[in-house]
Amino acid sequence: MWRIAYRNLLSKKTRTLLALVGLVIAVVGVIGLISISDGIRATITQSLGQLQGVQVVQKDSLSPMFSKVDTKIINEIQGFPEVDAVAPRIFGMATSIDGKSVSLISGNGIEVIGIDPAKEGTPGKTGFLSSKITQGRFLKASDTYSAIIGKKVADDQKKSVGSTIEINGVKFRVVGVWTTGSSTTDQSMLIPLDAARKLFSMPADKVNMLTVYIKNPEQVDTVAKKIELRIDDVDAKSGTEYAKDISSVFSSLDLFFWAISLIAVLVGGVGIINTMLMSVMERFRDFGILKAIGWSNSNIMTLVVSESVLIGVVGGIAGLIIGYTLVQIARPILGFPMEVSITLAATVLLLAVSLGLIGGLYPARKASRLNPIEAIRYG
Amino acid sequence: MAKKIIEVKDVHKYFKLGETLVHALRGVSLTINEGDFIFIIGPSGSGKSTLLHLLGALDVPTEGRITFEGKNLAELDEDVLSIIRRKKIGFIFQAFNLMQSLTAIDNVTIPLVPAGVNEQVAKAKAAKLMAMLGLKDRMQHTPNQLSGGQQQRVAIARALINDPIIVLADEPTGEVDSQTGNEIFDYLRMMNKKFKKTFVIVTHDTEYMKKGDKIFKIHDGKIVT
Repeated sequence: MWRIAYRNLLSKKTRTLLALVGLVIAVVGVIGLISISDGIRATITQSLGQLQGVQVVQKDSLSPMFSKVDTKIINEIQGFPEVDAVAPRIFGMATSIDGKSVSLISGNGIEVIGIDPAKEGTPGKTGFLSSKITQGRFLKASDTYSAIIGKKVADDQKKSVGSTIEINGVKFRVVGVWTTGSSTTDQSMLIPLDAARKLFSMPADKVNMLTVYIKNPEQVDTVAKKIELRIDDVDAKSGTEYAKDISSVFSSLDLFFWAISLIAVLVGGVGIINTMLMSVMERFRDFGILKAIGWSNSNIMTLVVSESVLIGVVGGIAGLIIGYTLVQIARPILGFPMEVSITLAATVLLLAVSLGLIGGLYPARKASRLNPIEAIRYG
Repeated sequence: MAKKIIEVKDVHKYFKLGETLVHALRGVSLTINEGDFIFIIGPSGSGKSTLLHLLGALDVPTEGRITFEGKNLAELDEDVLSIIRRKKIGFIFQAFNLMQSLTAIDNVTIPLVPAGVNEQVAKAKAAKLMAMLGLKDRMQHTPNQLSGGQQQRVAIARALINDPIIVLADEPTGEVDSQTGNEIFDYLRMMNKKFKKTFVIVTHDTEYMKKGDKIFKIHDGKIVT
């Protein structure tokens, strides 16, 4: 049956190729969109995984950006014997750089993080941030309007140590450049806490988040639980736990991308139905003959569905290879995180085969229900 | 006494052609026995192809009764009819009706596909039959690489591959010249004699009539001789 199906498809090469092209475009589209989503998720998860210690935010806040915690809890947490240091942070977005408007959506926005250098500056223990400095130096307690910029900011804005960068109308002197390897943190900058407080109009007794550095990293989860238990209205999570939460947010994004992909898939499916319908209509006489020589309705259905499933399998594999190759080519060019996971590959392949199967059902039914005499006579 | 294969009793067949109701067969009765080499002749539109379709279990009569090895065809469902067509009946058509995408040998083996016969076994059987019909060197050719006579011989091999008890041929020489037509009849006759196959051949060409054992002349939907 498969061999006959294969021969039938080969006998009309152009038409088969057109159906394959439609399907390949659909598969490549799905791979493109989902690989971007998977890539972003992996990067953010990785970035958050790099977070040290316990992150303390306002209870049920959507993100640290929208959270406000009281600075008076700093001393309380600092009192825990497991705690090394409690580092307050203020987050904000740059809306203008050197007088030009920017936004995160258009891809040139910068996340600005206000930190207390005294709490985060010692390499080895609390010095996670300082350990990523690749040029210049880390912030000092005496700094007022100094900044450490991410590598991407340095490249995009053509800044280096000694340059001045104006954020939301306030000038900062670049004292260091940091490279984290994560595209999100490389597009951020660190400034002293007080400067951030003024820049983002944060009340004197509030910060967005606290990072609690732990003496023994194995006690991270224990300390997180202890903080939630002892202090009201806060959520305390380790970086990896936090990453898990963010990951679930990305499931919604996936759903959105899959919905867009569905349009591409539908187009591919309509292509298959169209091809198979035309192919069936051209072969009415053949199906009449097959019925006359003893093929049953289900035999004929199986033949037509086999043909469309073959298109699905070949289109799926070809689309996967092309999609994977394009992702490999696009990744360094776009500088965008894209990943083709095994799950994505398997899903896309299954989708293509299902599309072949479903796309072939209606034409197959039409072929199987033909009256053999009329089919032979009028072809 | 020869075994009765098909019995047709007072069969009428009506069908609609646009708005017109056509009375294609008007009380046809005949019996086909094992080993018969029968001609059904008549002018165009006389009802001979309609009769052949009824004999081949492709259609059922409006009135009357057709029994195939004792079974009333009108009482059988489509699946059973397709099994009868597959196992008991071979069809040869005027326009050869080979599948253009397949080679000659694949066309011959195609009736064996639904039966799930092993490909090697099917091909060996087809090769033997094709050699007998002078197609030994044409097995891997596609239909458009074959002459009309060769295509019809491929169609004969296809009709015989399932070892049917009866072969029904609808104008088998309609699209070949008279010399090739004679050759085709000689092949059919050879298969009839050698394998005791029953043949029912519809033709409007009286030239070949002398080759038949029995002749049914049909006119306006009735058998006249």
